[in-house]
Amino acid sequence: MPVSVLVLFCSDQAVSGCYKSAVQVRVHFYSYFKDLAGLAEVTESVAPGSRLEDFLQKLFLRFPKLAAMKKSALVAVGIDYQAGDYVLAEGDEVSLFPPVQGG
Amino acid sequence: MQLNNDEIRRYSRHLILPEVGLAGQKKICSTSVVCIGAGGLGSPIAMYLAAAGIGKIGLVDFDTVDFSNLQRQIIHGTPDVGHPKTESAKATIQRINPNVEVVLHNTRISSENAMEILAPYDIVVDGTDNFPTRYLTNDACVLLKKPNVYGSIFRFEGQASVFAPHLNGPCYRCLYPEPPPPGMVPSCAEGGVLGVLPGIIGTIQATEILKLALGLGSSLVGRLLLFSALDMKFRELRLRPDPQCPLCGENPTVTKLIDYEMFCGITPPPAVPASNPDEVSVQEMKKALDNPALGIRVIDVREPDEHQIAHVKGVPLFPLSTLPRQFTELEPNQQIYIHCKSGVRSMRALHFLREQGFKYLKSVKGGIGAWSDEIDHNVPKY
Repeated sequence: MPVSVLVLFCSDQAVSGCYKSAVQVRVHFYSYFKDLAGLAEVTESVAPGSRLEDFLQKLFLRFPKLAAMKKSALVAVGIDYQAGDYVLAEGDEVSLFPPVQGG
Repeated sequence: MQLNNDEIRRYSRHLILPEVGLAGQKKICSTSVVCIGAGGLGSPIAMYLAAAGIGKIGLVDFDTVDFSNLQRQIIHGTPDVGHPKTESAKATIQRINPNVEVVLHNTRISSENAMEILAPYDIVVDGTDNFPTRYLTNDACVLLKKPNVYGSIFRFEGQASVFAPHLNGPCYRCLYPEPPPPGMVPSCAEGGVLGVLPGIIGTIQATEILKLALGLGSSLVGRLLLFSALDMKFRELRLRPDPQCPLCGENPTVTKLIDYEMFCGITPPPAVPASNPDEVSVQEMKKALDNPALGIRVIDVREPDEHQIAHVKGVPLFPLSTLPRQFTELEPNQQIYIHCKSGVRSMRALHFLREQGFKYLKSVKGGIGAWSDEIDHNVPKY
């Protein structure tokens, strides 16, 4: 687990309390998003109650090459397509799918 | 409609399926389908629909068959190279099943003609290869209330769905409200595609069409099927209509077809291509290579795999992907000509090197493709 990420979001609260309440989310990148992100998957810690939209904003800051595609990505949690107001829960699997055009 | 004895023999394996039977086969035979694109996806779609006995198949394509199509577009063969794709596809369909009525639309589908082309058909199938046509097909289908059987492919992965807001499913815009910025997403021509992949995705599309025609099973309406050939895995996403969708949402703002090239940020090429001061021709590149005394360095910014396929002798490789590490090996005050496959990446390399303080840079217009056409036919085109 990347501790540095935890510290980032914990900076304004007691670290010990934060460890208990942090929500772990696994992120999967598909197709050429893997190339843009430089990896296929990553685990992130988010504050409880975080909305998908806000989480994605942070993710795009971490993976700036993906940021250009933020309005064109299909985002799913588990096997369901989700809108930005979805509240992330412990163990959620977030998948980012790019549009492809080939035929 | 009645089936004659030949048709009863031809469709016998359908007729003995209790779920299809004579009534089902008659439904298939009275269904009309229009296929946008007679390429990788269009090939298996049209061939299987023809074999199944779909009554009328419309084919929309303006292109001609190229050698580079044959690795996956199995409706066309080597003797068809240079001929219109629609005519080549029609010949294959009629060889498979002469009972099928084939209608050719040998034209580029556009906002001006899309409604007229699609309106007479029951089902639309999207086998195009570019974003503007995908949005155009989607919008026209939603406005015409016709199911849009969607498939797309890239490298080793593909996706398929059925978009049909009139059947309570989402449309393509619900999934991808905005097209990606131009140039961000490689096409199959740029990124490559495993030849068999459109066979898998196109066959799934053909299956969905037959199910729609028969009214059988659960369709891909509201689901996106994702396939990875490398993992040999299918995944599925549950979709839902977006109430904010500008096309099929509660307050639609798109009520007629728009300019899709503009929507996708594609600016049409000027009628007379303006000469770009940053570009040189392949003839000038040859002059530089033939006359070292001119002191012009020529470099190739394609990737090593591409260099193996084709290269110009004596031109060193500085792949664009590693250029940020390698550029220090170049001399910022020397004149440098940069080439790639077609002239796009070389222009990107030029801008990168200029930012690093390089002064005398030119991008070779048309890249190694133009070199093959105009200087040396022995250099293969890919």
